Amino acid sequence: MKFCTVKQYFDDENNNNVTNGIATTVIPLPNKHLKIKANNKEMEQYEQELLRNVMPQELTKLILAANYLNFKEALDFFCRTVANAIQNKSVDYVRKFFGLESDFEPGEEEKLCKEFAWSFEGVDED
Amino acid sequence: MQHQNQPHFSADAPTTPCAGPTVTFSSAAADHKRGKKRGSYNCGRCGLPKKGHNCHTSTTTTTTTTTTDTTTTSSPIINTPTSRADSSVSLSSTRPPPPRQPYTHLRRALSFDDDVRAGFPEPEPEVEEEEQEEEDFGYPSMDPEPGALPASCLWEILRRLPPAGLLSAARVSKSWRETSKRLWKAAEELRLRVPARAQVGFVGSVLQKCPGLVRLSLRMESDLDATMLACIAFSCPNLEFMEILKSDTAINRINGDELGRFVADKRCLKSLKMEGCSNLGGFVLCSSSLSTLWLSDLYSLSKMVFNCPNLKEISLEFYRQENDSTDLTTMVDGLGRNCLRLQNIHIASVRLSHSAVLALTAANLRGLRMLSLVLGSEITDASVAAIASSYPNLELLDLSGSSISDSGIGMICNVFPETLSRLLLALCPNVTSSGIQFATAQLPLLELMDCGMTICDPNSQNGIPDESSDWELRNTANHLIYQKLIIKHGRLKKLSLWGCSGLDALYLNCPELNDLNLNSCKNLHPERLLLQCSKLESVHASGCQELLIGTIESQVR
Repeated sequence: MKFCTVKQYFDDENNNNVTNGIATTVIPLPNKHLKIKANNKEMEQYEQELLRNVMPQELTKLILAANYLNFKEALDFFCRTVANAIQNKSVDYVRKFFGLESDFEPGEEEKLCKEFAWSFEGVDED
Repeated sequence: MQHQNQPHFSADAPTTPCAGPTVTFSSAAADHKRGKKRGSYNCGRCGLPKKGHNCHTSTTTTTTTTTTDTTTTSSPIINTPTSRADSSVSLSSTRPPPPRQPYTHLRRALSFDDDVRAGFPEPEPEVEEEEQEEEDFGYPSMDPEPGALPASCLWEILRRLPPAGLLSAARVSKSWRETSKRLWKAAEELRLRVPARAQVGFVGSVLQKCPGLVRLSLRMESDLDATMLACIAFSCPNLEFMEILKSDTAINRINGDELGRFVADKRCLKSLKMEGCSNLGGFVLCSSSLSTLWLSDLYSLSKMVFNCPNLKEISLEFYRQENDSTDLTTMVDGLGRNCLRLQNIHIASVRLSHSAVLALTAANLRGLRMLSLVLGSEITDASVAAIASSYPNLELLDLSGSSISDSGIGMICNVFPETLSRLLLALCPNVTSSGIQFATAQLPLLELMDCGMTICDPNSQNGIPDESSDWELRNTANHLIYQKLIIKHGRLKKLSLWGCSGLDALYLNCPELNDLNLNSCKNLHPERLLLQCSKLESVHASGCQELLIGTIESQVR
């Protein structure tokens, strides 16, 4: 059952997790999924289109929504997208993307950086 | 697909990522970043790009298409097997790896299966990492700040990152570091590319983050020696599957003693695959857990002892050099004595001979189902007789590159019709179209047939220098006449006729045929082609006449 949470969602008054805008994006997904489940290519196209209109920062919210709604395919898809978006980027880019701040002590980050210097080669421009 | 000039009339091969719980993801971006070409990931067994290609697995899973293999090297394939003169080798303890020979693509048969491979589909760029966690675990219970991702979501994102990405992610913030640490700990499978300039301790430091590792695959672009083995042995106590692949420029310096020690110490190692084994020199492998062993690029081994009673699958690929001093007969004899549970055997060496076959047939390998002895021009019809009498239940037989003739095929059809589903006879110069037709008529279970480079153009001097004594027979039978092939078979799924430049007519009535390779069938006449194969999805026709391609298109649609 993909949508056990949805029923609850509608019954539930307290909806911090899912704003309306997000809900309108996520909820129609299963129908679409089912309709074009057989055809991978169409699905990809659909997903690409969907994402073109979505700001990177919104992806985080989409993930939260998908998580809350317990919707595995959407969660997988959004997470994959985010992973692809950040996989080759600098640490600062990633922080900006998620709106995070570094909470490391000054020495700690230095250490981490040195440990695996090789992995930071060839990182994309921000 | 590999060649742009090659028409593919297929629907794309399904490019699903790896089946099962592992997460793979396209690393096309990573490809560009590292300046890798796609297709630089070569299968160690056959030297071909590894896409859509699986060399040697146990029965259940996956498929590769011969056609995929051969198409990727369709131009350079048609070479005569000459010994490699270029490795001007001073026999010091290390030598630079000779360039990969185009011939070892022959090696690919053993793993075929009916379903399309889910593992390395052809167009998918190299998989760089997979991480797989199977255990459930409690997510850290700290409350995220509003708007931040809860740990479970972060986990889902991070687990889709490649190793480098994951290591970077640890630097973002403390909670990210925590989550990434947990991910490493939970990882059971790791595929890592070791760049050329990597420091020695690099792999060690990565491996130490994932002590639960069960499967490890390293693609070495830097040189490799016993310190790597020590590192793996130390960091991965539970390792069961290990694979070391190597790029063309990397050198594998591991010697036989070191390998032997590693195998003996790793009590749970089930599968070992290693490329570039030219410096082994000789080895004694003792393991009761080992069930799969693939070694490639072997050369001049002085002694080989396989003390592995549970070994089920073995693949030994030797360098194609005439002065290889390995005593294959003794080796096979030893295998036959010690590894009685063998089911799949693959040996690729130009030094394979009838006496090696006799050593094999003298053994009592009751479970033998797949036998592949390739490149041995000294394997003859007598060898086929011996194989047929000792192992009548084979499901796969690959004698590519041998000297067997149509009468050998006759013997095969006599003994194996109830079990044989895959027959590979590429580069067998003494096989003619009547032999091939006979085989397809007599083997009802046949699903894959490879007759590449068998029916060669008798008019050109393009043929393989033929060492067998049947040269004259073949010559008189075929001179000046092109051959035709008529095949009607209810189960055949893959047929490869690559390089059959002596073929000018082809009639196929195979309702299950999925994949047809006609690369370099340059004399195949467009008006003498009839394909009645309703399920045909892939036809490879590079190097064929233009009109032919049009004909194929019209017949397949």
